[in-house]
Amino acid sequence: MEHLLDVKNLSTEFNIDGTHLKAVDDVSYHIDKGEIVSFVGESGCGKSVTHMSGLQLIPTPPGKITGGEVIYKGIDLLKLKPDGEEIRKIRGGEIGFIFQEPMTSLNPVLTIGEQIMESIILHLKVGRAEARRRTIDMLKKVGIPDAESRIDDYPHQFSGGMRQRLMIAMVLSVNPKIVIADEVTTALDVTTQAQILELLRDIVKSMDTSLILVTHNLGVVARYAERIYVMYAGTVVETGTTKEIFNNPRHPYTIGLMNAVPRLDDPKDKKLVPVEGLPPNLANKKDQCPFLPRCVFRTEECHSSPAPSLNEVREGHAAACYVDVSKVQNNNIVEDEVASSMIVGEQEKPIINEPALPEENLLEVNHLKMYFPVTKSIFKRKVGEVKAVDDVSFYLKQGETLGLVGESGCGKSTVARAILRLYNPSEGEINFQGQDISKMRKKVLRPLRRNISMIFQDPFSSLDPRQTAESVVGEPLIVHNLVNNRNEYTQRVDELFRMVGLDPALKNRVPHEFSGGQRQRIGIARALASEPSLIVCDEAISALDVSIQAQIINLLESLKEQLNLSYLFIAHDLSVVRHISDRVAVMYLGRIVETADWETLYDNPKHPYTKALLGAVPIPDPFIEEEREHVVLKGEVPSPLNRPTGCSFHNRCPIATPECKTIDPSLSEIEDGHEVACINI
Amino acid sequence: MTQFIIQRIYQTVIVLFILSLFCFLLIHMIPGNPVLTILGDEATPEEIRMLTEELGLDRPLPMQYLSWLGGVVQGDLGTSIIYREDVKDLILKRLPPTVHIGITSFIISIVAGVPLGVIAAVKRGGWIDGFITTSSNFSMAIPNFWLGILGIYLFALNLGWLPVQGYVSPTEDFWASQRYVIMPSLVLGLSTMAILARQARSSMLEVIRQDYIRTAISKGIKTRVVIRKHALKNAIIPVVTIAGLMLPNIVGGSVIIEQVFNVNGIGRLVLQSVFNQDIVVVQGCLIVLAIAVAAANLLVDLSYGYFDPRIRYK
Repeated sequence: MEHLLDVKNLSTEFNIDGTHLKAVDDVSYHIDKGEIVSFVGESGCGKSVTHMSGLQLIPTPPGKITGGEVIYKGIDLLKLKPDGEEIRKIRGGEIGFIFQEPMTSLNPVLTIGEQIMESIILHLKVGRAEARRRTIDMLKKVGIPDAESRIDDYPHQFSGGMRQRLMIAMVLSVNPKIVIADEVTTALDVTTQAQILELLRDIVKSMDTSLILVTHNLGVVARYAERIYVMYAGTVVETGTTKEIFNNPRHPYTIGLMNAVPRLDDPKDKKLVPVEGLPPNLANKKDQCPFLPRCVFRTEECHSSPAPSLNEVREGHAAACYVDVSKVQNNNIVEDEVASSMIVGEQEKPIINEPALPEENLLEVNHLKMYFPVTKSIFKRKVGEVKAVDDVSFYLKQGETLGLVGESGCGKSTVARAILRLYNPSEGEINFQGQDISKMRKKVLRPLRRNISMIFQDPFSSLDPRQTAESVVGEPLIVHNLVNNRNEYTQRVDELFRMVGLDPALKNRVPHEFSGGQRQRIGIARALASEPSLIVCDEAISALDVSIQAQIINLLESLKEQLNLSYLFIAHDLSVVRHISDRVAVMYLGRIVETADWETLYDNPKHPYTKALLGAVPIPDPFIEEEREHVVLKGEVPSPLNRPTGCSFHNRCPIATPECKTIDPSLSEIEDGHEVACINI
Repeated sequence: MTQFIIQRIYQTVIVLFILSLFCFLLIHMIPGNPVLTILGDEATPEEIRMLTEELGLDRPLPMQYLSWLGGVVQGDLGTSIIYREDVKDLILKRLPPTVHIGITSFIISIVAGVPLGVIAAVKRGGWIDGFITTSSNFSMAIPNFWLGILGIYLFALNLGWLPVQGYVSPTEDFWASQRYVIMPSLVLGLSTMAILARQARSSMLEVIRQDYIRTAISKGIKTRVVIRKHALKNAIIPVVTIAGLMLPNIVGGSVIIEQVFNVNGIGRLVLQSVFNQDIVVVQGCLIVLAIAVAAANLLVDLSYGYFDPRIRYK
């Protein structure tokens, strides 16, 4: 059978400052009509460049397609002129591209109608009036309310999720044969992610369009894809149907990825198995298996042989590996590797009985409110308030981890900043070690600050690019006068480096010389420097690749045991929060709607919002996903400026009753330690 | 948008108020007694008394300012000490050549500068880019009086294409007027043009690597259309800002250019009045130029709203 799109031996290089980066190295794949195919891999594995190369969308220079064929309808797209008539007809007209960042992918100075109509007029050769009519139809199809009037709005008047719908409308308005969706939901919240992917799937299925889903999220793959290509270091390392690959992964990297991701259905004590090491540098690629240095299955043969090519292991399932993984007792190997690679592991004691938690609370937040004034006109008249945090209470004991989850804009980061007194709370108490710090004067507060640290989200922008790693980590020691002399300082910095698994010899480097995971380790070392009892982790791992994520989660967990730390772990990834937390609080629009210990919350969620959140998280297992019922939460998180009356969730709630519009529920205990804010349970 | 306009007008009024204060205080910034400075050593007490009264210097400072400001608002800028002529009439007579040359040079610098910058950005790294970048650096470095003299030497004296100097009003003879205006306008606008070209180039380079440009290309639109329709309107906003900031440059440059080309405009009037110590005229000219610059900047600010819908709908 002839494939709709057939790519053979595609290679793309980037020539930067004289070095050739082999971003795509001899990649072959095909797409058939109407199927959903997924490309999985971590950042830098070449999955986006592969698809951009096919349409000649990579910037040249520095990029250069060095070989291969991209056959679409009998024509090799790589032979066409990059800006010629023929390829432009296919680009956008037959093969559409949806990009990752909905916030920046639409032109801010043109109306959305103009941007969609432009495509329709160009590819379908219709007049403006007809194009406008079709645009409105398409907007309705992707779920934009009030399409007739909103067609003349500008992109900034839409939310991120809505903008991604607009992108989908734009691409699908011209009836393309193939749609390439490049990490389309990575920047979106989990309930929005579910909405967008369900929408995309339904539309392509109804139009019999093929969909290429480029993603790093194994859950998304398991839920939506029919076939998979796993990419690593610019090559396809494994391919097959989704079920076959999840059931019977044959490449060590695929296996590594699956073990590194925390899942909603994991047993709690499962230790994540990170893929140790770092992805290879694409500049000095040798003719050798690219995964070799990180592989736990490697043999002598791998060292001496050239890079393996894809070999069929079963019908329709191929892997690029010399070792037959299924015949190796892999469990032992993995365990051994983990033990030897855990640098902090030396002092780690086996977990026997967890020590009983102390009676008194380390941190107690009572009725915390954080309002920001909204001003208008030149006289800065106050016209309203953003109630970012509205009456939030919780506690945290020494040695405990409290997970705070919620979607963007729910106020979880504001809570973190208020606890660190980066904001001055509008109302409420923050009792830390028995003292209310919410209104404490800065001078009085300063000596207490060493007891609370923070780990930030973005390891790339939260470190001063001109400070050496040593001074980043050592600064708190000096600020809080924790060392007496130079010698002590050096010793302590080295100790901190070793604690987070970094070689102290690297301490004179500046942040850009480290990888993302290493930078986050520096951030953790900085947080540990002042020997705090509480560390606030604000989305501390969400910017990292999954294999690196697991390394950092394990590090945080073992540090907690060693040093008896308490974490306030703020994240939007429910699987990670489940894995790391003792207790969990779910926030919605500035309030906690449900709180319980992790087991109760995940196994027996009561609040409809918690249920919806959990339902929206895809589980990286196609068999489970097939069985699961997908309830997609409708609508979007309202702005805290005009919070709905009564229960603020009532307009999206599947079980809302008329009373919900008027009654504002407060948290009430339904069983020991399990509190829910809902009147209908 | 209405609020944006009101806010900008309000800001402009404050700026003008502060400027008027500086203009007014100018007369008191001259070291010593301004009356003596104006009249010289041989003045009789009678003359001194009369001038003091005429300038209102015998009244308290706030009163002097208020009455001066009241006059300015009503269009009364006082009487020239030297020419014994109404300053307003004097300025109105001298204004047209300056405005004519100034506007022409501003238009030339935008109309030529922006496209040159855009072309350089699109052809980044090529010889066209190199040529435009180098010549704009060069243009910024040349002093304009020297360039003016060189232009007169080459185009007027040697080639005889353009008149040597002077000014003819367009109402008198439209085509002759253009021939008189073109050289001073070019000379005056060259450095502005160069700066705008550089700004347009860097802002275009910034825009063409944005995600929405990638989106536009992936839709199958021609590169030329992508640049014109998707990139330009985004890239122009910082250029407009710089253009607004360059206006005082043009006004200031006119003082020198009018001298070199022997044009009887405001620039020359200011210069002559400074030498003549005709403070009232200097004051009048400054306040008129200040209002012109502030008004032009207001227009520039308001044009953001046209280019950027995010400002319009705030």
